[in-house]
Amino acid sequence: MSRMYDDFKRGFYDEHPIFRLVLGMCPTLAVTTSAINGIGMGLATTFVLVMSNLIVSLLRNLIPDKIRIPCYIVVIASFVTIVDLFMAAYFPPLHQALGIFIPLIVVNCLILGRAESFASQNPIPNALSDGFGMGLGFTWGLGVLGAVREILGAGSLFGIEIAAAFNPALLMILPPGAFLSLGLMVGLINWWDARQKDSPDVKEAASNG
Amino acid sequence: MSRIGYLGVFLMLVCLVSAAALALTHQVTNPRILAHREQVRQEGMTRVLPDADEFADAPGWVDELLAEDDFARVREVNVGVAEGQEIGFVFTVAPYGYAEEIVTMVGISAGRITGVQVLEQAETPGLGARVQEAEFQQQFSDLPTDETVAVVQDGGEIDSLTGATESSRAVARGVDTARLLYERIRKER
Repeated sequence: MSRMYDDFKRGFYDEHPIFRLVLGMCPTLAVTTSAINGIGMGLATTFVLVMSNLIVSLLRNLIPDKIRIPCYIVVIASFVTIVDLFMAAYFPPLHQALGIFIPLIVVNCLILGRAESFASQNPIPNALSDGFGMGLGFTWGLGVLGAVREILGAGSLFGIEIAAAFNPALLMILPPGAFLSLGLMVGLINWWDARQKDSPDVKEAASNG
Repeated sequence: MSRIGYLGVFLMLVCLVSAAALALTHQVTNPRILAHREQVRQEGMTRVLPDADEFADAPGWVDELLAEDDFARVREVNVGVAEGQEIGFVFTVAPYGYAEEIVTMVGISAGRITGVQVLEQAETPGLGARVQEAEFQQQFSDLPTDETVAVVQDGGEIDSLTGATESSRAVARGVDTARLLYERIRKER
């Protein structure tokens, strides 16, 4: 049971896909123009990740080693298409906002990476908690980046106007704003960890990174 | 069976299962997707030509005009009908914007533009995406169809959005195409 918790926590914080592994940068930088876009993208990715981890873990002793990658890709692509169709049917505005990035979940290296390095070697419960951990970690990362960019760049949060006191800096919802907020978040998390651990070598790593 | 044959058959099985799952999903979601698309279309038409109470397909000879190069960006023409009388047209045009096609509906009645509505766009958020705002689209209302529609930079009357001349120009170009087609339909009749 505690191993499952570790599997979850690893993706959720310790090896956070965005801020630590720096995986899946394409959707991270492109769709986080608003908090709701980030969260929507994160949840869609979580669904695909959990389902693909489940299937890959289920078939891990069946899939011949030589063709495992094509099998994983077929599994992942199928779930992405399912998500795409369901979003188009039930959440059309979100589907329109995320546009091309939904089909591109197929090539998010986070998903294939977890299938190859974790789900294919672990039993189903662990593969599931790994999928949820990584997926929800990805989701909060995208949500935070989207919220920061939406507040600073558009003066609103979840579409509700909040900025009367300052002029929104358009730059933040344009592509450079994605790099700026990502860099600041990575720095912030490293700073926090360095403070927590308060050991000299962690401090040094943080200041170098 | 040879090893390579086994691999092929295994991969085929995986693909078969996946194809079946996708076919099922398509069956479930397709009616809703089509219904939503139709709803967006109907709402758009009602907004750009509010006086019409129903919309019919354009007659065949109008559709034939769409084959001409000038009207290549016109997707669809509908006739607005009120109390059994034809009162105007709704043109769906798809000019290329800064990023992708900007699908726009243009309503025209009695030689005047009655409304413009952007249905789909993928322009830059905060800049070009503002072509969706009513304030921008309002500018086209009531323009006569015998004059060229263009942004100020091109000698017209439409104020471009700040930082998004290209997107504004695309919409203006789309409206101009609709206007030309309307004039053409008038003449042919």
